[in-house]
Amino acid sequence: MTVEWNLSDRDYELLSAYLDGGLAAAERSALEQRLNTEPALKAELVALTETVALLNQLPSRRAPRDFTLTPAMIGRGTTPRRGILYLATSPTFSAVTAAAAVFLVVIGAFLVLQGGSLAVPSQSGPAPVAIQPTDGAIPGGGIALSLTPLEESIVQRGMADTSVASTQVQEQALFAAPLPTQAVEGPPPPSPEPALTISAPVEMVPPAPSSPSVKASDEGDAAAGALAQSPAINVTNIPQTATPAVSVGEAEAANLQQMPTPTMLPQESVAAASTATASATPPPTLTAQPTASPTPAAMTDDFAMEGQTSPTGEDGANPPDVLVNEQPALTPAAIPTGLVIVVLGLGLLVVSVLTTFIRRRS
Amino acid sequence: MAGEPENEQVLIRQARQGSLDAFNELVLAYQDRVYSAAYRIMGEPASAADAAQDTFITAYRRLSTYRGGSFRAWLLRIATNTCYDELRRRKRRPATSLEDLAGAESDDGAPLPDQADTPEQIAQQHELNQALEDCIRALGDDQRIILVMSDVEGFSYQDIAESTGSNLGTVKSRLSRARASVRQCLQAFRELLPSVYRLDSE
Repeated sequence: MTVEWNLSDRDYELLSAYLDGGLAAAERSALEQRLNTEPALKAELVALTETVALLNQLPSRRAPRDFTLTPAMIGRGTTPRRGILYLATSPTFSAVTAAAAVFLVVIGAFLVLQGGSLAVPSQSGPAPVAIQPTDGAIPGGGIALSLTPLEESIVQRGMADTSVASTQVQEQALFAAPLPTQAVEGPPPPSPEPALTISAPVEMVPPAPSSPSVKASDEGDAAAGALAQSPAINVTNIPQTATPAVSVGEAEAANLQQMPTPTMLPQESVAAASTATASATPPPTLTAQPTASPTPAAMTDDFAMEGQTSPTGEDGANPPDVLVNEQPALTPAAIPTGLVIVVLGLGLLVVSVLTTFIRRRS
Repeated sequence: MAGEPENEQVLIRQARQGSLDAFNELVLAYQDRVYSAAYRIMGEPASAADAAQDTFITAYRRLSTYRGGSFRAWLLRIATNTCYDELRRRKRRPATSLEDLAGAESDDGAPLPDQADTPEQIAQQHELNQALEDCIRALGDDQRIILVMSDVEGFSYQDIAESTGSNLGTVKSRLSRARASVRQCLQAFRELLPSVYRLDSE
């Protein structure tokens, strides 16, 4: 055994720093002089150098297991949200569904209430008819509703139009009030049956409604002619979704102003098997036939086309007539339709809440 | 597994973008190094494994603080910091059993042998490394972490000072004492040592 272990801490510190090249020039030369004269110091330097070399070559140990991370370790899901799920849980989706839900519920509730009010006053006479259309004046709205499930954008457009158009329609309706009385008588009976007639036209509806309604609302009174046309389209649609009741109302209002003679009306009423309507407005046999004919789709298309292409109101004569008759028939169906819409709206609301909840949690 | 992956920077970039798979490739490439450092600092396998796992979790979360340079050094600094924090915590609230510390040598993480040697050399080297680790383990926490960081992992005084929250003077003096202790400890194993190291042969 050797004596080196008697070195002081200070000496070890000098040797250690010397090893690492950490001594200032003066300290280094002083130490080197000592190393030449003190074999014990020199020996210890050699031992320390070897020790550090051994430590440096110390090989890695093998990890006892893999330390790869799992998603849970870093507190996140396995894969980022993508596709439908991602879309469905996006804030935008929730907001849009919520807005659509509210809209549907409001419209649906409106229809239900409206339908209820109709049922009672229907017998009273002309007054109710005129009023109903006014309330339901939301032409765009009515159309939009049928579309809502399909496209929200359209709905929004419809709403915008509604606000503007409704007032106009109301005015028109008031004017028309006296005239409609005739039509009023017709409407009550057919109410239950319309549902059946609806089935055929339903398919047709989608294409025509959106464009005409918009035009009508924008143009206002001046566009009365346009309205007359658009109503025709609406009428054809009416049966399918029941919402059309409203649109019909507006249509009527427009028609009434310009052309009170409800000749055409029979169309739908006939199809609906409502004879009463026909009696009230005898003349329109011409138009009625097409409706009754097996190819209702073709009819609706034609009307729609007219509405879109000629907003000026040249054709006014044809469409208005049809509208007048239909009003009454539609109103009763509004209640079930309204309920359906409300339910749809509530369903959308649930979807919106659910997606929001999912997003928050994740 | 031990070397730095060729596509290291690519993996790092992917990991930063959230790819756990890319990060796990880095984990596999460095886990032996990280575990080894942790083992030598902590002195026993269980704590070392915990520290290694924590190191990679922390590294993943702090990937944005990696500023280029040696990823290995960046990772090992996290590892030593993790170990240091754990040692501090234990000092405040000792919970480890003496058994853990005493029988720490283990079979689960034996040193990786050097391929070039004969079986006899390998055996001798193994014993020497075992002796070294015993001597390291015998050090106090403060000296051990500094010795491992400096002489095993190759960190500079400055890095060590930052990791341990000490000043340079403290690092130097602790390191010198640690080296002296290990050197004296190794004397007991002198039969295993290279001839140069057999002090009494002089």
